[in-house]
Amino acid sequence: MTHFNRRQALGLFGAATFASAMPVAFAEGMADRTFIFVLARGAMDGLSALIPADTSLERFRPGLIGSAPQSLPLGNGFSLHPALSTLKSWFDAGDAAFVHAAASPYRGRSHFDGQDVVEILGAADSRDGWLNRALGVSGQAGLAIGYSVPLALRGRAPATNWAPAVFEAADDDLMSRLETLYADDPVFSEPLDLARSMGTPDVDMGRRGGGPGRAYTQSMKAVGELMARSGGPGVAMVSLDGWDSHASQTGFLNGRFQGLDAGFAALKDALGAHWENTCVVLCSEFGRTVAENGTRGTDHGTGGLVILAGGAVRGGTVLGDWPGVSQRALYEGRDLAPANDLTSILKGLLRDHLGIDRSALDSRVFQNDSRPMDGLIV
Amino acid sequence: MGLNAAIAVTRFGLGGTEGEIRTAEADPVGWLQRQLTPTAFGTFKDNGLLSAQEHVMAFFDHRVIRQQSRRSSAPPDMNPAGVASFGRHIRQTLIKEVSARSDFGSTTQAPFHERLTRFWANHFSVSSQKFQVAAMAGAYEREAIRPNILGSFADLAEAAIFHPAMLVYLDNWQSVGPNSRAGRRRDIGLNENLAREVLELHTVTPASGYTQDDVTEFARALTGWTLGNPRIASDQLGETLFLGLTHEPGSRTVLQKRYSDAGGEQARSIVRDLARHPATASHIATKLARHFVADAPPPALIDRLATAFLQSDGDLMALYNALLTAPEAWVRQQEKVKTPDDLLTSTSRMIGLTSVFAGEPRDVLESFAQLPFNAPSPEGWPDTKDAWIGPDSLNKRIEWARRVSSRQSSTDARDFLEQALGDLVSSETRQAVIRAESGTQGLTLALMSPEFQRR
Repeated sequence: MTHFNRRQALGLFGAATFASAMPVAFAEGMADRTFIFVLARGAMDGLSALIPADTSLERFRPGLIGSAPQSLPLGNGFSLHPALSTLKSWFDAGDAAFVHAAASPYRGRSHFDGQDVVEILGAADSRDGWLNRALGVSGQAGLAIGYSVPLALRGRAPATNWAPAVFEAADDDLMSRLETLYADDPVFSEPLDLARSMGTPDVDMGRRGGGPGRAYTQSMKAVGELMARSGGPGVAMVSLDGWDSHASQTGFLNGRFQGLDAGFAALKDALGAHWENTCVVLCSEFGRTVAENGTRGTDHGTGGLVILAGGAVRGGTVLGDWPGVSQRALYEGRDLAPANDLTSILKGLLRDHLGIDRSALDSRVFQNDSRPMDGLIV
Repeated sequence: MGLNAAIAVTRFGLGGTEGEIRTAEADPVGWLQRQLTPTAFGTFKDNGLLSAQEHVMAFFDHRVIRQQSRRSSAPPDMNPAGVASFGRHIRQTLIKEVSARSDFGSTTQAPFHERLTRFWANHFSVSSQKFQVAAMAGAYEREAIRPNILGSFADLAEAAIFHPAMLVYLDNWQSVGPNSRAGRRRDIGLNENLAREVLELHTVTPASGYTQDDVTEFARALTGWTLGNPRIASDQLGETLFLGLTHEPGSRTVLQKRYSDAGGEQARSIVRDLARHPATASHIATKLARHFVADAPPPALIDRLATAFLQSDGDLMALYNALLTAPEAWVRQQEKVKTPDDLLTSTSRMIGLTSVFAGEPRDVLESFAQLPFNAPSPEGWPDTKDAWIGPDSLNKRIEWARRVSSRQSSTDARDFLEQALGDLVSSETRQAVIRAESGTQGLTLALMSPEFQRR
């Protein structure tokens, strides 16, 4: 691993990216590509977002289907939740696509273990995140929206986080003194170094409060604004928490889908011309049960929904295999079957969008030899 | 001697108040052990704070308002009066609860006791992020956690898991056995959320190898455990109760053990067995060692704690004593980085609560992203530095320290260091503070020194 001065190398919000410092296979012309990984934590109910026209589903979800508002047909046997009107228009315009019944290798039903697997996606003893390992290859800078760097972005490649400021920034003299004070303590000196190189970008997050849906919109807007800046990071991660819909999920999901959809719209708006070179991929740690539970919600399941959006995405289709929701098609008799491998999807995106070659994907990023999914990127 | 007193006060306590290290000096371990009595707990001031039951009553009061207005042709679930007034009730309650907890933390003379309370409240986390439980989160800590942290783990687990706040937070109150009398009659059924989280987070963890069948079986056993509401058992409104009407009949098998149908006792027996399981002992030992000693605790320490847990059948006093007498817990190296809550509490013990918030408490709490009672998930707040120290979060600590110091002209930074940290202060930090260009900068450096940021 080449060592370099992080402050000089990581011009996250100032100078150029540090691609030239990285001795790796990095395809020409990919440097301006923008890649955003969105993790919907808590397990989004994909079957409420992208709804198959299937009478079995109506039998499994009599209470939920009955209370659901009219969905938006895509003309291919699926329809979208009515709150996802931006995604619907992008689907029609070729800027959004979906993979249903996708899953990581994890087959338990713990949120926390499931999220760890989706964020690591590597060899069994791997402790850093796949997105960080991808940065190590692509040579781009990574950014997370939030108060800490999530596992997927943690590792040896430089990555940082951003959250809106509350107080006045510290002066340079104080920062230099702290640098001296932290000389022997890398737990503090490394983040301080990154903080100094990052500066304190300001993004207007608007009014505070308003629940998870509003927070989704704000996070998506912020990531777009920060990435669109000159020298902004090429790769980012956004965590959208709070999808665990165990009870009364109709109203619960409606607000969240509204916030998510508005977030997608705000993201495109903020990215401006970068949108054409952008790929956003959204997934959860797993899906939810096909049948509603006893409290008009759904429990932890297996196959989940992947949403792809951006000008770089080959939109307008539902990709991958569709296992169906008849009783015998279900995984362990209860969950949407894991028909599409999440790693393959991400490999397809990283290969075709960021230009990371197959051998680097297999050996370094995901540490397995599963086949990249084709046809996701224009 | 002086070093161990400083460790006792900072690593096991909430951070030094003026003179506290001196108080602990004669017998640091004894000073900590003497805090583990119910009277130390008794000083928590809960004047004027409502019980969980009263909050449930308030919830149903507001629901009644909604139902009335629904009859008067307002659109369903959209009654602004009911929602807004309950929202106000939650906000006002949370302000009072956070303020009472912060006040107590900044002044208590039994800080180790309070650390343990916070540790267990986080282990059995309920969160104000869920609207129905938001107002109860503080009451839950007072009712289920505080009185039970000096007894057995099984008693603590039972008190937490069957408290109305937990039954609501993890949806068990609405879970109905499909073959129960109520389940056969109406289109309602099982919710496995509580069963899964008890297994995964509170007790044996996935390391024990439990299966989906174990989760479902345990969920069936838990049906019937609910709280009184206006339609059912309105005379016990807001109290935990067992309702045979919704309980799934039949015997259950969890982790290879069969439990005959003994009504509400069935789930209680399962919880008690889970609480004394060897996998639970390892889990609790690891979490306790991680909380007090290091993100990756020495295996010898974990073994010591797990053995104490198992040999005493989950006696928490035996567990605490094993921790306090373990040599691995008293090394000079400060492995743990303070969480934002730890940082605010320890600072408040030196300069007072008002100064810590330096203006609007909500600004500080939101900026530090650890609003009390508002953990992000049933797993509670993270307990390792990765989650709390990144470039941006460190920057926010620096900006906060600067703001606090700029309003604190009467505090001498050198005194602050000696009182808060005693013999833990390094010569480098002492020098940096002495050479600061101003008292304000000196205090900022003291607050941001590795010794004060760690424990």
